[in-house]
Amino acid sequence: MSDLPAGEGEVGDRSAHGRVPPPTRAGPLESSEPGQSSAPGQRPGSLERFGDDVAAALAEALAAVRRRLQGAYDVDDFGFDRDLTEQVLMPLARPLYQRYWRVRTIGIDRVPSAGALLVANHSGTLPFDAVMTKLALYDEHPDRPHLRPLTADLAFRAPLLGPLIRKSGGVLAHDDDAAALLRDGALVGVWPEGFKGIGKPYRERYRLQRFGRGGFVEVALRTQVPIVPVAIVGAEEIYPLVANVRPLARLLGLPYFPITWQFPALGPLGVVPLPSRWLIAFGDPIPTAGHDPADAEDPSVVLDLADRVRDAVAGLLADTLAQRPSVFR
Amino acid sequence: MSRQGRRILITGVAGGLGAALAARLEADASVATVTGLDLTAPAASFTRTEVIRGDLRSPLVSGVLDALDIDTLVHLAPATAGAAAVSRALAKERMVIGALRLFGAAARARRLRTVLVGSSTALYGGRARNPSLHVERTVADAAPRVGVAADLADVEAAARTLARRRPDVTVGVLRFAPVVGRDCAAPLVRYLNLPVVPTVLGRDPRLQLLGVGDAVEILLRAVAAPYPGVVNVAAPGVVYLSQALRSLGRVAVPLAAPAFPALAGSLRRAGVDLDAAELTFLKAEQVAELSRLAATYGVPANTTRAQLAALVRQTSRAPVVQDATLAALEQDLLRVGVRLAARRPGRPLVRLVRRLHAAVADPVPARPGGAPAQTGEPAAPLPARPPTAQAARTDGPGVARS
Repeated sequence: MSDLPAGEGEVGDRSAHGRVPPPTRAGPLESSEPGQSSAPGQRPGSLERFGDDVAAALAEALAAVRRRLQGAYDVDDFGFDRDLTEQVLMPLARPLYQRYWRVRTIGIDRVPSAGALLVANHSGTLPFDAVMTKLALYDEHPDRPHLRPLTADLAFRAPLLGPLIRKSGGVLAHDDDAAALLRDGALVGVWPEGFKGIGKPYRERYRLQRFGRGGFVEVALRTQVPIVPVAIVGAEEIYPLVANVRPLARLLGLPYFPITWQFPALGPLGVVPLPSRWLIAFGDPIPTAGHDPADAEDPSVVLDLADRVRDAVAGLLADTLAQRPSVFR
Repeated sequence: MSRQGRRILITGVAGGLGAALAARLEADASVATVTGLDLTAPAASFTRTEVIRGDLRSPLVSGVLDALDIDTLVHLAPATAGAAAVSRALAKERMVIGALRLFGAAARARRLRTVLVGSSTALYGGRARNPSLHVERTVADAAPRVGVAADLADVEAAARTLARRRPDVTVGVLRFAPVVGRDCAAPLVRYLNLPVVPTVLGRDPRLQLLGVGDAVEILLRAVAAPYPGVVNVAAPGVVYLSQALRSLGRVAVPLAAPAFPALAGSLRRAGVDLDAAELTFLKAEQVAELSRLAATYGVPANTTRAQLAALVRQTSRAPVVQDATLAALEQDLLRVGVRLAARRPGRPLVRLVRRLHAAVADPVPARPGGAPAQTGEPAAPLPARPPTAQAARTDGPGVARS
């Protein structure tokens, strides 16, 4: 069932079968329009309209469930499952975004709607910053783009989590994948600090780590897309990392094994993040069109540009941090 | 450069792809002879194609190429390997040693001008560090050194050696995605047709398919004008394994990866060889990038999802989860709701449930692919061949005309 009929004339006829009492109707789903009475002697109250909305929503949900059960949906070549992401995963993350961390975005209209590389700071022990940035762009950007976050291969190797990341739009941090997506006009997000950023101790919060060799700049140069600096404030405080148990990390094959304020002291409750206030700021795009695509081969150009981007992110981060009155407000 | 009276040898002719190719080539008047070579006799009956039963590893092969004045060799045996369940060691021996013997003989065959090798995208399988889409050059740094992927890498290496030894022979390698369609009782199809399908817990690989008709069409184009190098061949688009199984109405049973070796024996008896190239995707995804295909032979119009829909129509086993079951379940749920609501008539809730019932009361549409009367492969043709490839051909390989 590709989609349920939105406004249907024939639906009423079908409901007459079986033991179902014929509905007292004036057209099943259409009566949500104001002024149309659904039953004689009944005033079309707000509750009534609410009921119709709920009915439509539920019917849509049932249709979606059926679509999922029949495998009747499309995924893109990289495995992005729009249906699942928009209908299931994003609604799950939205309460975190809206109520728990109360994310505020700054300058989201600076982000081009297509073909740009977003470069952000990384923090928070678990990569919630990527999830929130994706949600910020989808919910608040006028064009509702889907960010494609570049993800470490470690995450893809994880059972259950790996397929979920892929279905929600994540792709491996590989030049080929990033370049292919950017050429297709996608918004690609990269967190160049990697594990150095996300696994850094709390006392080093908001201190930008090294940006590596600037592989992301090479891709942007080759595909001639602008680089948008992004500063994420708030993720640092969700799991304040006190220590990293290196031997345990090595044993488990992880980049770090975190001891946070909550974990493992609070046991299973330790996975609950702290309700810090988040700000996500988007800076002015840094154009790469002025460069020759061949400059991607020139390490000095690449590293210069990487430094420029890093400075931009660091500056934006400092400005944004100053705008937050306190950690939790 | 049309070569009248081509003399073509096809290995792996007992497989669905080889048989379909032979059938098309023998119908072409410009082809002088078509000879098939395989271990087993093909089920299909041919009009003109002569079938030789033999092992590629035997010295017979070198004789065949010259005795029959073969000018075009289509080595499809690697692509169809695994169709017959044999031990891993024997399969490796046949694939690798067979290819070495065949290409050794090919290097000495005087009339030979074209060699096409049917490889598989299984070659790409393996590592979490591999990109989502494999371009043809990926294999250089990502070729796994285990299982059928390693064998395919060896076969392709042998093909490269042949190309080096015989610069006058155009050697084209086609890396096929799993080929599905009529008469293709490939391991993948049999796997998808198991009543309950074991999957790897916590994994959901993407799957790329290729219709046998599209595969043959591309092979015909390759026979006519081979691209000297490696080309990925697959239908555009991907499906997740979970999605494919739901489309087919199968019940997936997720099992921890270590449980699979224990299952291998009984699965093999059911005709599903987990070591087969087509099933390596269970452990490692291998989605191919198709821009070179677009520039050479043309990308098939039928998507992977369309192929899956065709598979749904062709499959003999009824879905375990029927569409009607889903619809009935939905109706039952709503009927209970209506009955509960009927106790308090006149309330908005009652109308709500009734409306909901009315909204979903229409019968469930057929699974993707639609009408049951429609059978066989999706009929959409391949797009016209890109003009560049034609031009390159008429100019001859590597010759720039000014």
